[in-house]
Amino acid sequence: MMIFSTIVNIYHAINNFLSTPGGDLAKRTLEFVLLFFMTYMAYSELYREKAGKQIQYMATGFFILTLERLLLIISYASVVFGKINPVSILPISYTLSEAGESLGLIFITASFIYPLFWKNRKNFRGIVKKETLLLIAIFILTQGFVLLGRGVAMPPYLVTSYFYFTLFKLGILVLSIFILWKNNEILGKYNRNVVVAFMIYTVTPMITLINFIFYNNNNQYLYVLAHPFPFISILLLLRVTYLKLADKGTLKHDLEIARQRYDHERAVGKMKDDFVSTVSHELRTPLTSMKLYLSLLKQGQFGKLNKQQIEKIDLVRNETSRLTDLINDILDLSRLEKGKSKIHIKETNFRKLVEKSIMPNLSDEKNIIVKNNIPEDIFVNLDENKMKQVIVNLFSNAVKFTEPGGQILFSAKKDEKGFSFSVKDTGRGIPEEKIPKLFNKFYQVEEHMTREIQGTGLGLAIVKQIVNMHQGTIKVFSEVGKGTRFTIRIPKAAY
Amino acid sequence: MKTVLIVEDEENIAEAEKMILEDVFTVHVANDGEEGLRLAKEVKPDVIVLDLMLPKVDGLDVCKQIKAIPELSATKVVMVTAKNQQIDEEEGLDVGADDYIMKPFEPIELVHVITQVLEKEIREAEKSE
Repeated sequence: MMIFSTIVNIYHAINNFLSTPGGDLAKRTLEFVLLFFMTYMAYSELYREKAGKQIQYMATGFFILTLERLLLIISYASVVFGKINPVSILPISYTLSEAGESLGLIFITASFIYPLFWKNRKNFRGIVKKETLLLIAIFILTQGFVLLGRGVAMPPYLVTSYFYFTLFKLGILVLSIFILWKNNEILGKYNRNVVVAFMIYTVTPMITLINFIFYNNNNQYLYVLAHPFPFISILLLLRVTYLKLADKGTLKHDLEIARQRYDHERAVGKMKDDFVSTVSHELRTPLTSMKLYLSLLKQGQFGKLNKQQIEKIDLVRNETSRLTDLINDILDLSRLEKGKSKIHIKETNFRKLVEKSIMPNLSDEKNIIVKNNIPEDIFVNLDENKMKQVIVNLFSNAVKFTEPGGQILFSAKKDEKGFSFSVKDTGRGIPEEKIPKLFNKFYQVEEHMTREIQGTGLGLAIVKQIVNMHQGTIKVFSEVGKGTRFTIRIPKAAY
Repeated sequence: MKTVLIVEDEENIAEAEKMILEDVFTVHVANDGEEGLRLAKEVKPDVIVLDLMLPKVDGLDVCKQIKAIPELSATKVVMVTAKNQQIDEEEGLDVGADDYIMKPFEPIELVHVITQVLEKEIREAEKSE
């Protein structure tokens, strides 16, 4: 019981102290230090670099609040230490302080709401302007009475003027809380903290209002109770501002790193491109000589050859062709991947395109039957040369993996959803787990393949790129031992 | 016999091309762009097989200049490209080349492309008559 009564006594002592000018001086000094720190932070951010409007508003708001607290400190100090009659100074500084706090709040709430209006700055400035005009109107209207009744301690009309300021502050805070709360998703991760800070700030004008309405502003307990809230609220805002600035710093650092990485990757990418194009050019010239002289050799231009010699020359010629294909595929793919290859859409008869693209000698050699089931009247808008490459690649794959006597079937249809086209073979099929890797570069289903089915491993990667360029999709259905079907769909919107 | 001028800086390739075309055409060879232009004015060939990458004056310039000479208006140009040399098929034809052939090619492809441009000329001549 002793302890309890001691606590109660201390509580009363503090309360009594806080309701005297000395107590007010202590509270205001504490708030002033905090606000001064806030202002310093905002201004240092403002002058460190090109800061946004948001920081400008914040700096202005806190600067006004700091000035307002400073004014109060000076008034209380002159009352406490200078023995000046409180009645001659306090009403004026209260009025100025109320007005200053209201103005400061306009700017501080504006600073946190600003991000919502960044696209629509004019509107925003309009709102701030209207709020400020309203405040000036309240100030002029209420102070007219004050000037008339100067020198009277807390006359009723002066109290009335505080009442309006309090209402105004409450209005601004509630409005801001409402806006911030409603746009929580846009404003990001610290928004809730800001809302809480403003809510806490709201407690003070609310208590003051209750004090006005029910106690005619004479309740000392409510007066004391009201004061810690702005302090706590500003502490919270300080924390949010600090975290935001810290985030900004980290973000900048990350951005710098990302930019460096991007530059580096772009340089490497360009090097790769240059390398690919130079190397393939440098390879083309010797390959031309090789091809031409091998053909001339085979024709007997440099003397008659026996059967074995011709066989070996054919072998080398085939290898030269493979090398050429590889270079062409690498270049094609690199151009497609880099987006250097442009698409030239034109209306094409698809059946005729398939007829033009397939090479009967390839399938005839292996005695494979090729069926073209595409209707005569299918016209599609596409890049003829590129789609031809798709058909050639799918066709030569089908031939490669189909045993002699097998079948390759082309079919296509066009409906309201789009255009689809399939190449189906009766080949060896692809195991299900290998299908996802099929379109990877240099991927081949079987690692050690016999010579006749070796390819560049780039054909399907090229197909995929070209299909993508047409905004289409490619799907594979396959059953081991029975065959494979590649289906390309191009949505209606794309052709 | 029709006349073909080969403008090619790689001697091996120029020689092979010459061997391939010799049986059917009268063949002249130039080893760079400058010589190519000089020979073109001198022999007024029916077809010029023009490599794109040439020392001194490059293939594109040679092509433009040849197309600007009135006496050579009938001369056809077949551009030999390596595909990736900043040129695409369309650009090559844009500077006035009549056709193009991509390295590496088979002898038969070269003969084929030359006969085609010559036939095209004949067809056009027939049309205008």
